[in-house]
Amino acid sequence: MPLSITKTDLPDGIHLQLAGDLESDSAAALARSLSRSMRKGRTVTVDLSGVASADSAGVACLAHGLVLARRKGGTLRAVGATGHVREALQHTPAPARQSAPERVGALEAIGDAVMGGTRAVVAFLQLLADTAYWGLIAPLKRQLPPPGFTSTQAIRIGVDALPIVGLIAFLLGLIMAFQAAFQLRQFGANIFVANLVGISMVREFGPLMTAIIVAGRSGSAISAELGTMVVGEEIDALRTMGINENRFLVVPRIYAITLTQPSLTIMADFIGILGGFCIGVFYLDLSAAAYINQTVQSLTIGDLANGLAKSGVFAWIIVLIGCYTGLNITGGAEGVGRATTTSVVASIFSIIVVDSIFTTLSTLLG
Amino acid sequence: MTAAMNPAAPASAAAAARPGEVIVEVERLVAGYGEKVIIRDVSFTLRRGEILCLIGGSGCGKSTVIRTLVGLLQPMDGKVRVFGQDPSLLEDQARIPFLRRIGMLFQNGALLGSMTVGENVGLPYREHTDIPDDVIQRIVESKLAMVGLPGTADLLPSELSGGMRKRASLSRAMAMDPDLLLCDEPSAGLDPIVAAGIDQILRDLQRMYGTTMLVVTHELASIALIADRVVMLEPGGYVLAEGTVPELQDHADPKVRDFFARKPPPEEALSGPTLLQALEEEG
Repeated sequence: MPLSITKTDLPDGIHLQLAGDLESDSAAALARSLSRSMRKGRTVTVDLSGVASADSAGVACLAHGLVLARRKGGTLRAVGATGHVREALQHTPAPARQSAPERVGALEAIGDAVMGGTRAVVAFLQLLADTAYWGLIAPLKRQLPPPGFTSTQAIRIGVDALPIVGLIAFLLGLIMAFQAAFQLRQFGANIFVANLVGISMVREFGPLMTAIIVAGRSGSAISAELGTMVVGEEIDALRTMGINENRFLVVPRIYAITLTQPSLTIMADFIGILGGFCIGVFYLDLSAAAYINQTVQSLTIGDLANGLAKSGVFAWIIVLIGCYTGLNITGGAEGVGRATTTSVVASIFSIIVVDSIFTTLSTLLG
Repeated sequence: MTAAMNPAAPASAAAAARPGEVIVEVERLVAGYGEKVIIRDVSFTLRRGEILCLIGGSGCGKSTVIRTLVGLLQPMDGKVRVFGQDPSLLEDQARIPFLRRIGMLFQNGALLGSMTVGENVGLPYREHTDIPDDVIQRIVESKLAMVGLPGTADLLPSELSGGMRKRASLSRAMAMDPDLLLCDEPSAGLDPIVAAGIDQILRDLQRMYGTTMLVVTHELASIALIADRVVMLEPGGYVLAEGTVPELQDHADPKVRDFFARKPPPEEALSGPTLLQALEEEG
């Protein structure tokens, strides 16, 4: 039976006569009626004698009314509750009187942030030191990562990224050559498109774009995989078997990316230059030989070495940040999601910062 | 898989009756995570060949105790000795031989998802010994057969049911024939028949190899079947009672007796006022 609410103004306050079932369908009406009736210093009496049954929503309305009364300085009373309704009210705790929520002071918040930041830096440095030990020193003592792990990772991080890195590098070369062609044509300096594309690809965009793509592809995957392992107690299981998780999980990935990242970068350089070549030959009508010749002359071994050195550093940034965020997750599935995001954002950010440092130094030092 | 296969192994009753070497010693342990203290005062000893069940409601810190025993968690205070060594102070060189003597079964199995069941079970051998792969495979087969999972070596953990995963994980925990087996809720969430099967495996292990075990559980049926002794924790991280099952069934504390009599705790009146009281009296 739907609930009917009859409101009467009496000298001692407002009287709400309820009849029917106090259930979720009618709860909204009761809540509205209670909040409209409640005033400072006023007593609202709810007569429940005509109510046959009440569900959780109905009971919650009465609790809500009580909170409202306390907040506004009025009074809510209920009379005539019998049977099931009485039973339900008896088994529901009265809403707690609310104390003001504890506020965190600005100083405390700053302190917490500094402490948290310090802990994170220390944990990251520990990971770095441990990885350096297991990656560089332990192999001399014939303590290698498990056989097969490195090649599996190399395929996942490097080989599987070939098509997308290649495609993006090609388009990038194409775009750069196009943009440059418009400007250089005005001076009749079309042939310098080759210099521009060659040097930009080899020194900057090859390493940078490859690193950004790999960070998005593999940095996130590493973070999610290790994070899930933490949640599933798999890391703990490794530790109880006396297996160092850094040797088992981090080092193979470091080895793999150290191999694949420079290779991917060289491929990206080539394909990017090929993109520029296509524009040069088919759009600017340069001769293929002249374009190739110009490119080869403009590039030095130093340019290539510079780009490859950068790509190695980017590679380690990607794996270390991916592993760090994965191994240090808090919470369950949601934590894995957060770690994945952090991993990608932090590694792309670090890559760009490191790249600008590299570029500044190499420009200043000639 | 019965005692007949290894008649020299001590029967469980004898092992319990003969006070053996102390394997695990925990004294006034305080432990927790970050600033949250879970265990406030827990002490017990575990002797060779004994099966000790650690029981208590959820949140009492049963798993926390186990984690301190393998050095996954640093105790905040108190003394923990396993095989006479402090697991939190082990140097890397000493840690591996120490951990080789311990097998641990995690609550949800914790099999490595990227490896097959067989690779999981053989992992400790592959990592810590130079036994050839073919031999490891034979060991893996026998260990999987022991837990009733023959022929599953090439499956991935995700292809197994919950109960099978638990058993595969158990076979990994006992792969290196550990002296001490720590089990975190081996039969939680499993149907009674599978659960009884796991209990039987634990019992057989003890009978065959004299394995010492610490088993966290709250299944009364398991406790009755496997426990030589029981330590009952109470919320807040204290030891409520300790003894054999019959001793605890007649314990002075009604909370302990009620647990073993399967009696629900007395219906707790809502702490604080009820909504009815508030609505009738606050005016």
